[in-house]
Amino acid sequence: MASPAVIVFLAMFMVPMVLAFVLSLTDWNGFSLRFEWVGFDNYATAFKNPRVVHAATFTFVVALIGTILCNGMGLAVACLISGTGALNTVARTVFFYPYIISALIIGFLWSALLAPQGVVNNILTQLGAPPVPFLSDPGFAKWTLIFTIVWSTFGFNMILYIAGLKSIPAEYYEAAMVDGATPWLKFRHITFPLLAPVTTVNLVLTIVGLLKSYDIVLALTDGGPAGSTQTVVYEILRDSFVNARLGFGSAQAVILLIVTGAIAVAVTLTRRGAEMRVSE
Amino acid sequence: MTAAALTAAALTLTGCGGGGGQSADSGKKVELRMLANISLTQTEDFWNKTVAPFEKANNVDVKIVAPGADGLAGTLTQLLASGDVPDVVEWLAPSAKLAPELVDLSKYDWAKNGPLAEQNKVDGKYYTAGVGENLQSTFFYNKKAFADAGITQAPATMDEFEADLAKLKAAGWVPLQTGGEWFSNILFQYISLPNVLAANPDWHKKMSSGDLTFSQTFAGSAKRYADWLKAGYVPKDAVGVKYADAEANFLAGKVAIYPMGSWFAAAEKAAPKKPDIGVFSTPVEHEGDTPRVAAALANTYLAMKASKHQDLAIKLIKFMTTDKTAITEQLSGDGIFRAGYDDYPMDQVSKDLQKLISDTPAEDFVSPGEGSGDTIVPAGFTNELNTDVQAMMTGKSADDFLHSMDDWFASNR
Amino acid sequence: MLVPMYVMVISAFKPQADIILHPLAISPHNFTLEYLHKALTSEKFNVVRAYGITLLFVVLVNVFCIVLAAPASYVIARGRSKWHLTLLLFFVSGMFIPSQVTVIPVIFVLRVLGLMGTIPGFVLFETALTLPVTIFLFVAYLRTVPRDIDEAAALDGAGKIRAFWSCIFPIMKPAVATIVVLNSIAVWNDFVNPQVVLGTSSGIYTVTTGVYAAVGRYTTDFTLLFPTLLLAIAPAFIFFILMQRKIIGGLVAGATKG
Repeated sequence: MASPAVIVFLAMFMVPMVLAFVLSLTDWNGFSLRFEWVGFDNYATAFKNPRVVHAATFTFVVALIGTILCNGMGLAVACLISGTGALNTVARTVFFYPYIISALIIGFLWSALLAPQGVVNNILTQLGAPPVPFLSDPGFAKWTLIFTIVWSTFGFNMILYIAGLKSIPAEYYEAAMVDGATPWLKFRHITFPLLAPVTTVNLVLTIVGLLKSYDIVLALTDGGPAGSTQTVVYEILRDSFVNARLGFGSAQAVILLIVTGAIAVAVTLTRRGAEMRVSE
Repeated sequence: MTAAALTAAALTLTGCGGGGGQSADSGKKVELRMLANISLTQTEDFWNKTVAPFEKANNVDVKIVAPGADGLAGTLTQLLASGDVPDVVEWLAPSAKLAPELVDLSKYDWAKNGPLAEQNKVDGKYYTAGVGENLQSTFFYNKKAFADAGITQAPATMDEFEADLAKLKAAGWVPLQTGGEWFSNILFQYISLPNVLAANPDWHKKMSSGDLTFSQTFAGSAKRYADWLKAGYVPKDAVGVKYADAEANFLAGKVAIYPMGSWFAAAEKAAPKKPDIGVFSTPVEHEGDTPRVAAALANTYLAMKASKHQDLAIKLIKFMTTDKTAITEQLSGDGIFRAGYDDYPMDQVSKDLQKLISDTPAEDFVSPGEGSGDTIVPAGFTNELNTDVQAMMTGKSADDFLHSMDDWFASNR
Repeated sequence: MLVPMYVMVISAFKPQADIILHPLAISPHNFTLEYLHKALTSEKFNVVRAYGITLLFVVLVNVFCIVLAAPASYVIARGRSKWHLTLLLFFVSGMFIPSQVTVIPVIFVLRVLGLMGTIPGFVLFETALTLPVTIFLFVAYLRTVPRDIDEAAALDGAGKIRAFWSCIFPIMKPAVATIVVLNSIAVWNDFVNPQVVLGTSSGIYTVTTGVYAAVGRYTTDFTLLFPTLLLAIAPAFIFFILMQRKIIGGLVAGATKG
């Protein structure tokens, strides 16, 4: 009964993955009949290439800060609106809706809002304020990108946290009430520890998702200005296709794969302690 | 190595069986697919209209394939990799990397005698034919601005150019229009590359081999550019300016000088309201030097080896590059110029550009950007230059800029 | 949270100058459907066709994904051998593999199969991408379903496969709902995979690749941008508003079980 799924998964997922590794050992351009085996040269080049290193560092920063912000905000908002009232339902929809919109379109929308001659800067100019270089200053653009990503995805984290909150039995809070605990104490000693499994899932999903940011980058900044917002996937696609260095692109893809896997496993393992305490 | 070649061959061959799926049924019209660059002036409509007479005369259907998110070069790699190869590719110039995929056109006189044919030879063979030339060392200027600043003549040397910028600024004009996106490199390239190539005729070769470095050849220009930024000849927030806005700014008479390829002439011609515009090419570094004019072969056509209709593909290329109407439509539609072809309505700017092409001896043309044919630097140079010029525009020093370019060459050679 | 949406909606009905001068104002005197109509009939981006194609992809991927994943998950969830655990790990490891790692090499696999640039090829690849999360959730869910039901199903005397679909599968409804929501959002919004696998020469555009083709990287024409974005978002958005209780509810249900 499992074999059809295994076959499809093998052919469309595992074989390409192995192929990516094989290609990464060549200098193939993707189409010619000849190529050379270059061993791990592509990997060595990747670690030396300033663009690749910059993209990798930036992607890591986006994933790290993005994960912290998405989860911090997601959890905070979840605690505020986890009730059942109509107002809460509306609020949930409002915070969640960007998640159902494609990252590409989110990127185009925010770039129209934040461009030097975009909506926000037009308003600022009319108010007599100096324009803000949201997308035209390398430093600013990085933060604009992170902000946009967080804006569009923390709603998803929020929903997962709400789900987690709903599964916490009410008796715990009732007991705390008797003890006269403050809301903060209740959060620290009941809510947060009991959310541990949901938190793990949230952390892993966000960090894995953000490590592969691309669509939003393409539409919002196209990697610029001055290459400041190029991400790993942006580099992979550019090197593989535009520069016709499929081998080099594949090497970067394999590195991304290893890093993503390692981080996911590391997060899961370090969170195991927190989760254990829940089951006790 | 042999094993590697075989594996690749197997991959390619097996792919051929299922890939394209465009077998020519005898009764059906043959379909030729042409991957073509789509711009504001050369739209899909434009292409369909231009190929229409060819379609009719040869009973074929020419289908225009538009490039995707990775640009035309990236799209071609994708199509080649997927085995879904178009018959004809417009816009790309041949390179050593692409040559094995291309049909050798050396036996055709029209390919050998076309514009810039020599410069685009790869390994001694002619793989492309083009329609005309794109000038890429041209500075369009607002005549009123020059008059306001008391400038009577376009600058002939870089020092004069610099003095003129100061005069323009003093007269209250924004001297230069540049911007972000893909065209940040243009101002820098236009003030540097033609003169670097004049001083180092073997620049491409020596850069590729590592005998020359970027900082050895571009230090002066980088310093000049940084000075101009400091002096405010380029507005501080220029890096955020989009291409369409840059063009609109200049056409609205808000800036004095707009460095841009000759394709700007098409937009200029179409603009309903515009100032009086003149044009000059890159001034020389020292008085008495011969000026170099950067020109790229425009609307280049390549016939793909994988095409099942090679003869027709070649025929289409011949039509696009030799048929009078087809040429004229492409020239006037996209600001391309070709010596001897001026038999269509031109405005003054176009006439000036036409004159610049006709007056420049063949040996004084140089190739812009990454070069052409066999004389090229590693692919991605223009892209990297663009990125690093943006870094300078946003506060990096000229030294950092040179460093960064040197690093790039070191890891991409 | 709502401001960008608000700006997009009102700007879709205004001329360029008005968008620039009064970005936040609703201006009835300048109200026009001209740009929306233009975007709707654009030759570069056939919106209606893109809706149809994307919807088709959403449906196909969901169906294939569930047909493949549900029985496999059942086998894994009920199995106790090492082999079953390995199978689970095999699928779940896919959750940590970015699809961008596989999308380029899959070109060559699809080529060998003769499916490159075709709808079946794309659906197959996209389905494979949904399997890890789906199987992970299904297995987690099925492990909470008591084994008695298996025996009841077996008593029926029906074949194993039929027993699964008629007795076990209906119980999985909440998990299936969650997966349908997740897959639908993912497929509707996907950009890189259709861009690479379908390419531009196939002429098959989804909503996202179509928007990219229509808007391009360098547009400053807000009267093109906003109406196109509005059209691209509208159907999914309306569907979301109508179904939001169920969608969010489905996610919540799935998350607590998983």
